[in-house]
Amino acid sequence: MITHKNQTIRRVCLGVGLTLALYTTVAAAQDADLVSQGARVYGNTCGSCHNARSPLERTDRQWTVIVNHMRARGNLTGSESRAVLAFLQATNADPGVQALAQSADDDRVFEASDAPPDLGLAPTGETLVVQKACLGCHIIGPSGGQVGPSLNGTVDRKGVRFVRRKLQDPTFDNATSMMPNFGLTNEQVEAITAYLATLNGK
Amino acid sequence: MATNRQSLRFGVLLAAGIFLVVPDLLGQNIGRIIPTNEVVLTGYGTVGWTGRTEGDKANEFTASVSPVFLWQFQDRVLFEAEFEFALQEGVTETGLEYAQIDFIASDNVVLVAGKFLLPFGIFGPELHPTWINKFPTSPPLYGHHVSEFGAEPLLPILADVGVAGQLALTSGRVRFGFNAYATNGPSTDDAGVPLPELELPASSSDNNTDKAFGGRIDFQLPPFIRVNVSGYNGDYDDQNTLDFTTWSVATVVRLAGVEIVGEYIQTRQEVEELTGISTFKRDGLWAQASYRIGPWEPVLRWTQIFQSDLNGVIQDEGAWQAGFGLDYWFGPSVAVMGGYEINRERGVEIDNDRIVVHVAFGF
Repeated sequence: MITHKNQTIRRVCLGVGLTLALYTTVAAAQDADLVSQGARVYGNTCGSCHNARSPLERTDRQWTVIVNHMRARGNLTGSESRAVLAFLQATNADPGVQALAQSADDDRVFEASDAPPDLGLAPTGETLVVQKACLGCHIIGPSGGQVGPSLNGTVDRKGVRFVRRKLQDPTFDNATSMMPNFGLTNEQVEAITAYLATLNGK
Repeated sequence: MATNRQSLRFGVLLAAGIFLVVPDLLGQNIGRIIPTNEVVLTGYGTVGWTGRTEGDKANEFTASVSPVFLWQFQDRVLFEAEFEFALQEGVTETGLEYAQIDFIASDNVVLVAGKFLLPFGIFGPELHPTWINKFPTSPPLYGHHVSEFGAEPLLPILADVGVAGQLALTSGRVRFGFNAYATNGPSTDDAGVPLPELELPASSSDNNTDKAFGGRIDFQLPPFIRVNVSGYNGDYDDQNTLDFTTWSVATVVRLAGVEIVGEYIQTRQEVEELTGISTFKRDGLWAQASYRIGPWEPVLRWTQIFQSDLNGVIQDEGAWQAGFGLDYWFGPSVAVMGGYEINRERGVEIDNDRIVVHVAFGF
């Protein structure tokens, strides 16, 4: 016979179990968003004191130490620190080696052109935009960060040549740009340019 | 019996959920995986030239480097130290800026022990590194390096030996910071009249039984605005009878690409006179505006120390400095900075203008 006490226990256990399951699901989704959050904190909070250093300057292991140093110096919360670290490690082109795509030894020849982008690459570009956490700093579509300019209509405003060049070398027009150099391949530059070309200005 | 088995199943499921999730909760509060025994070398420096309108040394080359050692020897514990080596006026100055242990107590609290930069204002604890300060010299309210300013600085860049705690809170985009600390405090070797000279640079020894206490309350809406209020108090004489107090208001505002930084500082020092204890009051402010145009960044800075008085009697008329600077950024942490200072001491004909140009780099 099910007593009132046992019914209460069952309901409590069911409620707690559902809550824990929901938390686990939400936590996984939050991890995916952590890089974007980190981009916002890096630009707005870290950038409020000093120019943002390129993620490529340090390896992943070094960034863990430096972020803790800045946590103490800049009075960051643990959440902010984890987000910034996720952003720096995600946008560090090579965890083991300090890569620099625009170095003189780079054997990728890149010529930014005015040729119209292949819009068939736009879906690939949209995927790359998510992977590289561009939304952390830029408004793309209906939402995004405000560290950098909105990318809606940027191809119309700036031209494809500028967009291609910026993706390949973020500092070509601004030596202190905090936009990371992602070490994009020519194909990735074309795909992202194609995707941005599909966005109307707002 | 069937009811008991059902309750037991629920209990097992609940326990499994707790064991799976709680470690993650704890992990988020302790910190992600952080390598142990990791050492990082960072820091900053300058190479430059200073020209003066007066004085025996009309112009000179200068150089400095401040290495910062970071040693993460446990996931919650970081040891960090900054040294300074500067060549000025033919002398190599060496100093220990800070040497501290940081303990991450929780997601919002960090505890600090050792010699540390006091969280007082903005410039001292956060903006003084040469690649972060956008003018090639420090605001003359702070006595840091050689200055041609026509008045004694109000404070050095404050650092002392003791313990501190800091609390960081966020609410949406708004950030709050709270700092509190206890340190050995100021001292003096000169107990003479009319004004003993305070020694505020940190010492590992304490000349009295009193500790200095201080704190800071900080509000930010990054990147647009930041305001903080700071205070510091301690006895400086051997008998714990003479008090030194200073407080400040600091702000940073960013609007339409213009960055404005400013601080107001007031100091009060008790002095023993034949007639009793008097109070020596000083105050001053500095404000700086800069605007980035591509790699160029013009900078304007104004500094003023107002009249000082001892129990209402004017001691000196104060001084002011106008600074005009221009930076060229090669990268986020490398720039050529040039600045021209117009230094005037009120009531005195002598002027001590100078031009400073240096390459500032952070590594």
